[in-house]
Amino acid sequence: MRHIRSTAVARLCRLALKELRETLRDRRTIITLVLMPVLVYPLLGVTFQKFFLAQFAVQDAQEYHVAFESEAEAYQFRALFSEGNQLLGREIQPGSPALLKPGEPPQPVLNFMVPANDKVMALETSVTTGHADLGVRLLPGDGASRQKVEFVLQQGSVLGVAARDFIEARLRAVNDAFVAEFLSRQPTPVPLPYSWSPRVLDGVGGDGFSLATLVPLVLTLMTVTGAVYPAIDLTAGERERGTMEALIAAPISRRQVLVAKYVAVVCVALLTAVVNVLAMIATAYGSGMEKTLFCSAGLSLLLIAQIFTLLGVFAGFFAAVILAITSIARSFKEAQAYLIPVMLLAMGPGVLALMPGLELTPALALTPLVNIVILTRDLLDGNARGALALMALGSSVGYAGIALTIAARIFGTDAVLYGSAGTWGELFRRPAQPAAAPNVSQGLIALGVLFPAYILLGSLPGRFPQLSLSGRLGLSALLTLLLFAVWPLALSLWIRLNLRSGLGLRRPSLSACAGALLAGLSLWPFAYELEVLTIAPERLKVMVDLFRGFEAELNAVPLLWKLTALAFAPALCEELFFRGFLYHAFRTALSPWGTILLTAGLFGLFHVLVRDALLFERFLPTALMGVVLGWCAHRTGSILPGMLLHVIHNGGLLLLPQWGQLLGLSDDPITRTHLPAYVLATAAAVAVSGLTLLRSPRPADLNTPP
Amino acid sequence: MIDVQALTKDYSSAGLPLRAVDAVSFRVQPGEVYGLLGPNGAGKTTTLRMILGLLPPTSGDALVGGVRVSQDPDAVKRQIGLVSASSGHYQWLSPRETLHYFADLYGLAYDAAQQRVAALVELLDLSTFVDRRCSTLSTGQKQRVTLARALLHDPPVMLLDEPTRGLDIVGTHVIFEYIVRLRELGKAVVVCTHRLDEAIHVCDRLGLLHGGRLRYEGTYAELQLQTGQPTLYEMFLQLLDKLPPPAGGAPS
Repeated sequence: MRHIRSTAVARLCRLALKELRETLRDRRTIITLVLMPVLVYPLLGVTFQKFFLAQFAVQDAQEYHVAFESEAEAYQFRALFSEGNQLLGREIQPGSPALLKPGEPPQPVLNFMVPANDKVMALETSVTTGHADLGVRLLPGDGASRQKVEFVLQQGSVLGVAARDFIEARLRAVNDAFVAEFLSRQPTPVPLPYSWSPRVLDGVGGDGFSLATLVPLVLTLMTVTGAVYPAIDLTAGERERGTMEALIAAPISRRQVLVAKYVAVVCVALLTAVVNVLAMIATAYGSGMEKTLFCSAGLSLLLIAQIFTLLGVFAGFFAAVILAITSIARSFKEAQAYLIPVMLLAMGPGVLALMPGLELTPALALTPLVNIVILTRDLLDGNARGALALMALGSSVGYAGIALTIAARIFGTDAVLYGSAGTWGELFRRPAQPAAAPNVSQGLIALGVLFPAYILLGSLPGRFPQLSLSGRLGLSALLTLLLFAVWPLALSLWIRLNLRSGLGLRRPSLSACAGALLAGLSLWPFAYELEVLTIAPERLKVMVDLFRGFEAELNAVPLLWKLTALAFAPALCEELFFRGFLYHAFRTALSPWGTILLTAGLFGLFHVLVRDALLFERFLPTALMGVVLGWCAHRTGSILPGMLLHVIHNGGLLLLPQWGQLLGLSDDPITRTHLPAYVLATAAAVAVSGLTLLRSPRPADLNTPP
Repeated sequence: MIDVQALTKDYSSAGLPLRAVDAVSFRVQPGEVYGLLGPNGAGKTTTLRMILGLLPPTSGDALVGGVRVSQDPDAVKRQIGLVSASSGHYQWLSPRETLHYFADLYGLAYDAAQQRVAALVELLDLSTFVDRRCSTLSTGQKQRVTLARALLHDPPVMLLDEPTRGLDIVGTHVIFEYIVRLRELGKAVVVCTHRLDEAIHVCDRLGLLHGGRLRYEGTYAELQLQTGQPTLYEMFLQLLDKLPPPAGGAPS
């Protein structure tokens, strides 16, 4: 027990518990947390019910004005139309709206326009002047039919077309009934070429607006509402009531204090979400709207769990953002003034997400708030897509990390505490002293900027189909250079990073280079085999088809260009970012193996996410490769051997189609046949030699973390 | 115990540079009470905040127990208890919960914290209200809780910034009695106060600040000699240029 109490986690829990205790005892929290949902949802439920009932009662049907040349024609047509209606199972009479069942769309109403006093009306004039939507003229039959009906309508008239379609359906029903009766009278029954029957699918759908789209927005807004008050109280409130100074005078990092507050705010936000969801479910079932609000199958435990996961991520993201904002404020009032525009801004994308037909694209999956609202909507509709869901969740977590880092840098600074100037300036001010290694915050910022940029820019080459494959490969290499090399280098220069110690740009030993060379030459067969073993047959088929699509074009690309774009550029740049900047940033807080595994996991994830698709089969080989490369950087203290290893590895896989036959692969290496055993045995022996060389003693100055 | 070395703090006010503290230096030994006196805006609180590491000095440094605040502010904070007039309380927590929270902030083990809280409840006579919410306490009771909070980690150094502000005569008396007690416990104490009469009785040495500069420093008798003024009140007036300096008095 004593041991548990002494751990940092237990301390964090106690600190968070104090924040929660303080927040939950405040009646203002209770009002937001319990009273609002308990009152608001039943009231909303009653309102919506009344609204729908009123809609069913007074809903006006679409009215079409149909003109006839004479009353006689109108009379004749009316009989025909009624027959068609009866055949279609409708009991609609022209000029009178139908009584509808709840949920049934209103039927159009035909308003017959006939000339008075036996005069003849010019149909064309009525239609062109807009008095009638449609003109109907009855003509004598032409042999193919007993009588012809001519429709007169203005070109481009939506109402005219709709009225024509409406009437045509009735006339077709009359004709069909005639044919059916005629056939039935034949001595030998004649089978019809086709028969069909309708199967109407239950549930919310179609292109109209549904209440279900409102659910995510309401939930997210209520969750935010729950987080706002505690966030203000636990940050700006600390200063206003004079407890901030005592807090900052304690020997504890501001980050720890803020994380405890963050945990408390997320907990309150989640509690608010729980109460809101429960109130919403109770209201939905109580008012019989559960199938309107949720998917047709109603609510399942899985759906509830999925919604809570999303709300949890959303609460985590928004709590961090709110804390970052309220940490700047010096009083409750000031914090409210900052938050109101943010809340209004947050509503904009939330409302945008209600637009019918709006789909979650990679860009939207990276847009805060919108991504979660649309994803929740898709979950409720049963249309959520794995890749985009992961993208939305990943980006939200990333944004939360950045916001929390910013909040920790602002919270309790003397600028906020004592009102001296320069809060924002200090946050982004260039450090005065050179740094031996980037810190975790800088690592998170590097990652937080790179992730959305990678998603957005990664699809750029594909948007220029007019470019040759060589051009697209070149563009892709350029983007890789920009994202994975220029960005971390620019950040390193800004923070005055010592590139030798902070990025691992040290001159490696000869044995390290030899080890990397051997490992690079021998590890690719295992990566290849792993892919062959893990890839699903249908996935392989898709990949083969994809490859066939541009095989000829790919063969036309010069080998050196392919190697530059697909082996050199990614290998060199990715090493600079993952084993250079990220590794050294996380190494300041984690053990060597913790850092290796974290950077390897991130390396694997970046390779899984390709535009809006998830290539899961790439995770395991790339993450394992990341482990090897991370270990290589750790042992040698330099990223240069890793770069060599990575280039040779990528090159080996790239050249496989060129010389795979030499290794005993089939004529068509893309079909992924296994490598012969002797190749694997040789590779294993070479790999062991390479890794042994890499395992040689580390440089003496690397035994302490930077 | 406390060694303040030429602490200087510059602010920028409306774009213009403002020197709040100008090369202030003094020392306080264990078991000594040092009174830092001065009018509003003299730089007393800023000096205390720099000693505690809450404000980075523009130049100069402070050592507490031999530790430089610029090098290891957390180690310095562990040695200091702060009592500030501007300190507030968590309205929804009881004094006991508040004390346990601060025990966590100062890294005290749970059992040790319980013992320490019990001792402070007895020492400062908190037992009648220790489990009531802070929002229901009187000003005097809240000030005793602030004292308990500052003493929770048993620091060798105490910084008291206007500890009697807002207190009645009885409350003020309790605080000054307590300061005497701190001296007996061997703690180095710095008190910023405007209660000149009480300061004379409890402070071993005094420092008179004005315009960010330490103008006079010494025992009360030494100050009388330096300023040529018989009382602290007149010393203050002189400091504010309301009285002409008598012949023989010279700034330190």
